[in-house]
Amino acid sequence: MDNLNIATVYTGNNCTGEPIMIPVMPIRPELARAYVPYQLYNKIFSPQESLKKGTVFPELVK
Amino acid sequence: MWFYDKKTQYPIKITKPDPRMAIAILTQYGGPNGELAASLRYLSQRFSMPTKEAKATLNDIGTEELAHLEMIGTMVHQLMDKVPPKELEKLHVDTNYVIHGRAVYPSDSNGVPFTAAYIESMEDPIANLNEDLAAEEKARATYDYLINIADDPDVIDPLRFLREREVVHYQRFGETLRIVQETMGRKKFY
Amino acid sequence: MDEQTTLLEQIMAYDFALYDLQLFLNTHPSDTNALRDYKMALEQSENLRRQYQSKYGPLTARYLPNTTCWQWINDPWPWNNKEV
Repeated sequence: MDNLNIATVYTGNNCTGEPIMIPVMPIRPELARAYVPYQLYNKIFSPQESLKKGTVFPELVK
Repeated sequence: MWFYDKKTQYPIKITKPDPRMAIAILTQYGGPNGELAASLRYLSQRFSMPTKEAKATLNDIGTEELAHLEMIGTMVHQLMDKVPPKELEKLHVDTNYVIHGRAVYPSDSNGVPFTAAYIESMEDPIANLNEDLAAEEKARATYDYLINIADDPDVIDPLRFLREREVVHYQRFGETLRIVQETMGRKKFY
Repeated sequence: MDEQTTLLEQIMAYDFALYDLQLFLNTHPSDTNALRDYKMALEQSENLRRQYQSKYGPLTARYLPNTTCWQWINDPWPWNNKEV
């Protein structure tokens, strides 16, 4: 999980706006705030498999 | 605005009528944690979303919920279609029949009609997104309960699909909340 | 399963994958891998739609396969169970 804390996601759109850097989990989380880990892009299911599973993302099958 | 695509998001072909299951599933049409409430919640909240990522997320999940409303309506319809009234009486779903016939009406499983009191829409995007996370989790729990009482794979498969969509939406709302927290923390709005 | 249903379910699969990627891209708009997969699925979906509509009629009202008959109203609608 340690390396996940360092990984960042650039959510800003390169084409139209200033990128915002968001770590997978906040580096300095605040009290009284809810945080969901930011997803990183990995392998995805085939379209047929996706429809069966309800998502293209294997790591979101829960 | 919207354009209609002449297909359901996930295939639905129920060949075995089951009026009791129809009434159980009906709560996802017009009940407190149903797809109509979900769609109206997100499509109303999107007007006060502060970032472009948040506007797109609320707009597109709100739109997908309409496709889910159609799936649920299709299931209720196919489970009730052409079942003789006497059969409905035997199965104790005749109170619904004497009010609506075998039509699809937005209420919960107890017949309580849909109400906008099920949803909230506030100017504060953090409050809205926390509600949305809770709403997805409550819908996911409802699908778990429905799957527990279903036994026909033609009913279970679309319910499993819809349940998984709640998990994916939870993740997207969570990411949207992270973006809004980041940008509001910097006192910067788009 | 008949040929029409098979083709329609293929379109459902591609359109569904596209929608899930769309939601991902809304919160990851600079993810070039997701953009690449989106483009591939989009091309496939458009091919399959063209095939389907030329054989079985419109999936959207903004499509006119012939000028003698308005085929948009034709059954089956998505909530109809063809086998019942």
